[in-house]
Amino acid sequence: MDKILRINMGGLKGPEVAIDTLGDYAGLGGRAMTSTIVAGEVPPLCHPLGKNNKLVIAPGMLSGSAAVMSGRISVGCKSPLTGGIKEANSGGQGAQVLARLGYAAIILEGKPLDDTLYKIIINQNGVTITPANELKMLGNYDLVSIINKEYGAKVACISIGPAGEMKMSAATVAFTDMEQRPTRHAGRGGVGAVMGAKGVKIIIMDDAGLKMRAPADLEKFRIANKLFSEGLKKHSVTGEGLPTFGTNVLTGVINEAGAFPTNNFSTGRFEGAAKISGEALAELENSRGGEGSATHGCHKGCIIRCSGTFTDKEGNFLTKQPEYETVWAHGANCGIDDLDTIAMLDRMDDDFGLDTIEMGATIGVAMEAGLAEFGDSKAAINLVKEVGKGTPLGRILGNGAAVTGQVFGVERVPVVKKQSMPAYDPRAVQGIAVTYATSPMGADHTAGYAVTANILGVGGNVDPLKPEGQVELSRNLQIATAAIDSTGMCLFIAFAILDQPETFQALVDLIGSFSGQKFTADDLTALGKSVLEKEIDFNIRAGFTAKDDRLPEFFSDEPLAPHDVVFKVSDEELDQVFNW
Amino acid sequence: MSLQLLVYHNNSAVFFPLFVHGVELNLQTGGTLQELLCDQLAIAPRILEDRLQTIMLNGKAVDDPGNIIVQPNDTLALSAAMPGLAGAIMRKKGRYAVLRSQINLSGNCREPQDSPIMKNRITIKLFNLITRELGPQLLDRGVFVKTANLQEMFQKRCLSIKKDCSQVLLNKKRIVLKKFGFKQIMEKIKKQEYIFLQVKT
Ligand code: SF4
Repeated sequence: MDKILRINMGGLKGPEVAIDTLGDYAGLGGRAMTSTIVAGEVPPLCHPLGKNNKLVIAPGMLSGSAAVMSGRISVGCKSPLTGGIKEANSGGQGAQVLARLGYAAIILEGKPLDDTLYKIIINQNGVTITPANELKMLGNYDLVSIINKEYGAKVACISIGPAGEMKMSAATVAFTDMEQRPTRHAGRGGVGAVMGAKGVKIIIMDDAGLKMRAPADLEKFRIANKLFSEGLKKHSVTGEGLPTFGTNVLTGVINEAGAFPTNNFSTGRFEGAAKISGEALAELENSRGGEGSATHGCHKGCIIRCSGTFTDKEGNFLTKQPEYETVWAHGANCGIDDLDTIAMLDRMDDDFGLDTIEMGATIGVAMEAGLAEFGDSKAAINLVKEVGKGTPLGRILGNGAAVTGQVFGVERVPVVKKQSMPAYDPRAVQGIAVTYATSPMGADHTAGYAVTANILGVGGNVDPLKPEGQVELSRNLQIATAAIDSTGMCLFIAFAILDQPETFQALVDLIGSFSGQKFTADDLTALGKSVLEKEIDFNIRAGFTAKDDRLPEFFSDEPLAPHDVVFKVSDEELDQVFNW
Repeated sequence: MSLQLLVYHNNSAVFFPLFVHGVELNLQTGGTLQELLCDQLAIAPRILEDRLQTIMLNGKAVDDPGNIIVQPNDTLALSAAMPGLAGAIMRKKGRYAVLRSQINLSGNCREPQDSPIMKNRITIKLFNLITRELGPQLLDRGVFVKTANLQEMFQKRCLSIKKDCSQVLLNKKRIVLKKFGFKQIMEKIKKQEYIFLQVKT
């Protein structure tokens, strides 16, 4: 990974390719790379769909190597949804293949002079860009199957569906998985709309003939990788819970806690939760697809394998295992307790290239507006179809919950910085809400996901029994998450490195032995902090103020059943999160 | 009404979905949750310490079961460790417990009751890996389940239950499954709100 691929889509004679050295970006990966480039090169006041915005795609620091779990990729830009900086993260094969091709980042910049749609092909011989108007408005599934026929079934694809072409703020960038299915998405913040604005339908990457990235110290790297793998396998979350039930393992307990937002955040418990739980989902997948169907990796080298394969009633592949967030968004949040409907919505989102969290929250708002009844599966499917077709109603919905709420006069719209809130009601789990409110990304469940802050020693030791600890913990978690997001490691490693110091040490050694430079926990922390600083600075220059770090009013006014709680963290406390 | 089933090869897993809905047991109340878990439900200290990572009573998170008094009609939910920030937050005695301060049950301030302590219905929900650990022993002991939940389960998993069952007793009377299937059993019990279900292996 010693070069950066820059493509100016606004060249007078068509796209212009330049291959740069890393320069100041040397040593960066994943979110550290995307946020550094966006913060440094994108004018914060630019229009997100205009010529001055850039779409940056960067594999993690360890991607493309033999390090297990290192196949995450970051997509960054100024977000059309939030208006602030965005990093959206995805699994799939993209990170590994792009890294092996030697690119630390792809930067799409400029704006095409006409509405020609392009495909970009990258292999060891170089980069080719050709017009591909025949691919216009294809769903991701049909698109990838056409590409497979032309380029073989070993390529990795980065693509947009119709939602990206229509520049919708809920549009994703899709990444193919090991089976050549476009099931993995950089979902949040409308990154797909920016790719659409650049006129790029698909990037096809072929690493045939190329080897894995080699570590600087092979022996140390091998040992660290082995210890790291063993640590993940022996931990009950990464070795048992996630492989068996996937992320949807959370549904039962979050519902029991009264923190499972139901019917557009109007109550905290969903009566149908047992029917859509991780236990029910795993059982259904295994019974239809055969034992083991509920355990699957999203990229080569994933040993946790939190995903699965969802087969329809006729025994055909429908979609990957819907994540907890998707099951909640299209399920409880819309009053739907049918896994087949949820899986169908997941498939449609993946095909149209839409963020499942944003779409579930949007349908919830639409239901509250009276466009459909809560619990009406058919209506939910029809609303998402409208988005895929780009009807006037679909265009509204495809721009997310904030726009939909505004158009239909709904007051209860669960967004921060216009981005929909994920699957934990902030009134019941206030500590998460502090992160929702203050993350530079907008309401984001992964912004404070890396529960490793104490191991990293971020911010010293917080007294977990003191309420003020919420603010400090949220800050520390956000720093730790930004650091892990930069390595290319999947965030689900967090539990094992939280509980097992030797597994954390193995991760630090893995990074150190790969780069050949001494790397400590302090370095990881400093990295996370510097990423966040750049992101916050970008947002300030884009016009964000402390007033944007707030939850919608209804969270403070409407008590949430069953515990009748409201959000109580004061504005002054929220303002302390990034007061470092 | 009671339904007793004898299943082959320690295979009561097919009944585990009932625990996500919740089953009911007659247990002594008025004592601490720790006593209920260890003495009445016979949960081994190792499981309580290591495997049982999240405990909720009436939807509130419990960090110290020795400090909580169980009341009649309480609902207890038990889970193994779960992923992500939410999993860490819900963990008992975890360093992120403060992030759920609104729903903590940090001692319900009641004195343990003097004897006699009455047996009362307690609802128990088991989630994820904990079901494998505790489900078989609860089924062996017998639990009250909502007939509607049992009915749904029989509809969905009729074949595998039939395959695994070697003996069925309805109200202590033996039933020959070939002649009298689960459909007929459900017909007999459908008017009951609850049924006592025991699954022995
Ligand atoms: S644990 Fe899950 S999300 Fe993470 S890399 Fe593996 S399959 Fe992908």
